[in-house]
Amino acid sequence: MVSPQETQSCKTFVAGRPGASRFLKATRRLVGAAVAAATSTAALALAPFVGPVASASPEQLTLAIAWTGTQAAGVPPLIKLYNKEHPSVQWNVVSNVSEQKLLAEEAAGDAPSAAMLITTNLVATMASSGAIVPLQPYVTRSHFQLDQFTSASLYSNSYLGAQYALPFFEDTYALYYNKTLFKEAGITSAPVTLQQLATDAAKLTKTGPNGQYSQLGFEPSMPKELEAYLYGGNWASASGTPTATSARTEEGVRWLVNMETRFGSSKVQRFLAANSGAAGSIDPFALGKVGMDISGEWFMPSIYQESPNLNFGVAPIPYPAGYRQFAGTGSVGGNPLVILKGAKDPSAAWALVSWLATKGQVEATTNRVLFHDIYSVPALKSLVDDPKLAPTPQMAFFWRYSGGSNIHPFPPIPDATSYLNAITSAVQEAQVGRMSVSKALQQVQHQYGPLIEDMVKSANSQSK
Amino acid sequence: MTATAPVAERRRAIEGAPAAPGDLQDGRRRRKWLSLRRRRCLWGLAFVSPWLIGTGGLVLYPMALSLYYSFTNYDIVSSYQFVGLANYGGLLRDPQFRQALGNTFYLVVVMVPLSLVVALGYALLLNVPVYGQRVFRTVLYLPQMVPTVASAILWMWVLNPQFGLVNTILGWFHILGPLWLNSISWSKPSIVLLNVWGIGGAAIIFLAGLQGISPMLVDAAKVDGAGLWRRFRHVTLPALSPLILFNAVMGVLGAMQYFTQAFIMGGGESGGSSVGLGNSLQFAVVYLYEVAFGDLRVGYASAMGWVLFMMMLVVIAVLLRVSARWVFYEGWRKQ
Repeated sequence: MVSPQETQSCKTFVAGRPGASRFLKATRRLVGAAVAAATSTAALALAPFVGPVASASPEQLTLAIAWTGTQAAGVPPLIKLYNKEHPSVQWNVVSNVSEQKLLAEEAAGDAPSAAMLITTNLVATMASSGAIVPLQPYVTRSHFQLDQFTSASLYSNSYLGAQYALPFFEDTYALYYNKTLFKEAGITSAPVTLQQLATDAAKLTKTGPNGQYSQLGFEPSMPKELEAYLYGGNWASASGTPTATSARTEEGVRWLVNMETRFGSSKVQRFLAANSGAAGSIDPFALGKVGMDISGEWFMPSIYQESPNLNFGVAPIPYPAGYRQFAGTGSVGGNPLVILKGAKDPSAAWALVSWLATKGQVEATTNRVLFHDIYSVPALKSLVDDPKLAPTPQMAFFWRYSGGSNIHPFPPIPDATSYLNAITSAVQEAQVGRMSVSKALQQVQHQYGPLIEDMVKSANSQSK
Repeated sequence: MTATAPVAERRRAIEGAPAAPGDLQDGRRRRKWLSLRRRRCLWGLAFVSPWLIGTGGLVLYPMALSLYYSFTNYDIVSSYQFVGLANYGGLLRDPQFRQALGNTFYLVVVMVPLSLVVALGYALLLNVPVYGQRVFRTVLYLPQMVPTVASAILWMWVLNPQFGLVNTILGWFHILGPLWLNSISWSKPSIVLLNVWGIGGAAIIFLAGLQGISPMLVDAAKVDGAGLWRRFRHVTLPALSPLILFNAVMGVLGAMQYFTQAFIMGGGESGGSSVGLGNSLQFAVVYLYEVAFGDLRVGYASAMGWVLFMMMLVVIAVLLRVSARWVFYEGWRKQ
């Protein structure tokens, strides 16, 4: 116990020091502020008990989406609809959230509850590190039917046999061809085989007075993962082992490299640079200067914007002559819906993720305004099999095509993004003649084979 | 002031400094909790505390942590295990890291010396007293003021093989310009060209050095019959040598950490695309970024960071060691 005399002597001691009055004032202010804060906190805490019972405010949760611009604009109306159906929870959408931002937020313990990633290639990487949670417990608990999605989309959202994400919308590739240029060259239909494609490409290619191409028959800058599928190959086995050097994969890559060397890599690159803008903002196909191009359904809005009158068609990616079993080949990848580790309310996140993947997809495709923004391929079989809802015949084709049996996602293996980067780089080196196709693929296999195998083994042993 | 007054007080009286808080008018001093020296030390520390906190919390602590992580399989979100030297061993076997190092050393060997030569050339020209000298100086320094991302986008247009400014000018002389960023062979020279364009900062440092050279030295050389080249070789260059070393060290540090322009011009992004055709613009820090934040292999990326740091130290040490032979410091004699 401090006596009044002692208190007084303390005050005298302090008051005798220079600046003491300011110190005392500051101390009084601090104590006053602390008392006020404590009082208001107590008042807030006691409010529900002393005042009239207010209606419970809905739980605030965040959905982070990687989309930006027009596509991102399509999501908030869907979430508004969900919030209306589920008044106990209020979801807020944050767009332009990359996986780096998500991880930083997760590491800081402030992860959004649910997220839509930019590519399915990230699912395996994030699943192997534990950044996203497996969905199987929720699937089982809610008797959710996974087989309502196309098998390729489902596979691309899994990791080592377990479902870690649900497909929202997908992207798939097909052959675009310019009907006007085809007519001018006397070609009556889209090529069915790779050999026909090469012949048509030669007919459609024109050289200008400066010796450079003024029109290109076929743009060989297709996604590098597609080449493996042309001859029935793949980039990894079902167990997750990289297969960059398998004979079928190499055959597909060789076809593309031969196409580029046949037309001259340097001349092709110069043509593409001249007709693509500085940052690839313009596409030479959309400008009507390319006869054939392999691209995704997302390419169509830019065609409509740049060349509304371009007369183009879409067709299956040609298969090698004599290999009809590889007809209708292609790749699929999309925007996975995931629940992040450390989610504030995982059950609420599952409710949203499962709603967006099913009812949300249906809503987005039936509502023309929303679909105009999102403009992708649905992953639900019911929509894929019945593409009457698609806004154009071309989009209807993409919907049907994405459900085919020869449509493959890039294998959901750990380190998928780096592996794909190495494939892309090696194939580009082969295309410009810096190394042979075999050597390029051997290099990739040598680098990533053991690494990914080790990661898969490690993940398997951990899951056991 | 009596002879018995404390030493510190007598010193203050002589220096005319005000009495410290707590000193009494009659020269007696209240007993202090801390000695004057310690108090001064604490004041000093208090004044430098922003720097200490910044360096400790934002540099030294993350560095120590990254060294620790380099021996683990840390991936940001899950628990990690100690893996010994596995990450460092992995780097030795990683062809992509070797390619990234090769690309980086290209910048060190080609871009840094070329930038020094061009910056020195700029400075010599800007030092010539001609009409409009200030305008020339401003114009040559302007690129330094352009934001990095904007300059990268601008140069993507300038270097377009078909309608870019550079190839258009070459076309006037019937020369078919290279593919620049669309070529594996020409993408790195494109980066060098961009860097040389924005060399104004180094040129200004050289210009300041040139203006600090004593005219007496130049006059003495003239009297001795030295021509333009000899005056440059034996007067100007030795006088500028400390600045050449400074710019070289800064250039090497910048080259070994090259990122933004390469990432933008090479089209680096999520999802596995290559940075530059055939990863020709994948420099060491770009690769580090992709491994750390694309693949979440932060332990491996930390090891990469430390290997790069060590390499940087070695290169700088060699540069400083060699500099003893050619750097001349005025007023300094070798013992």
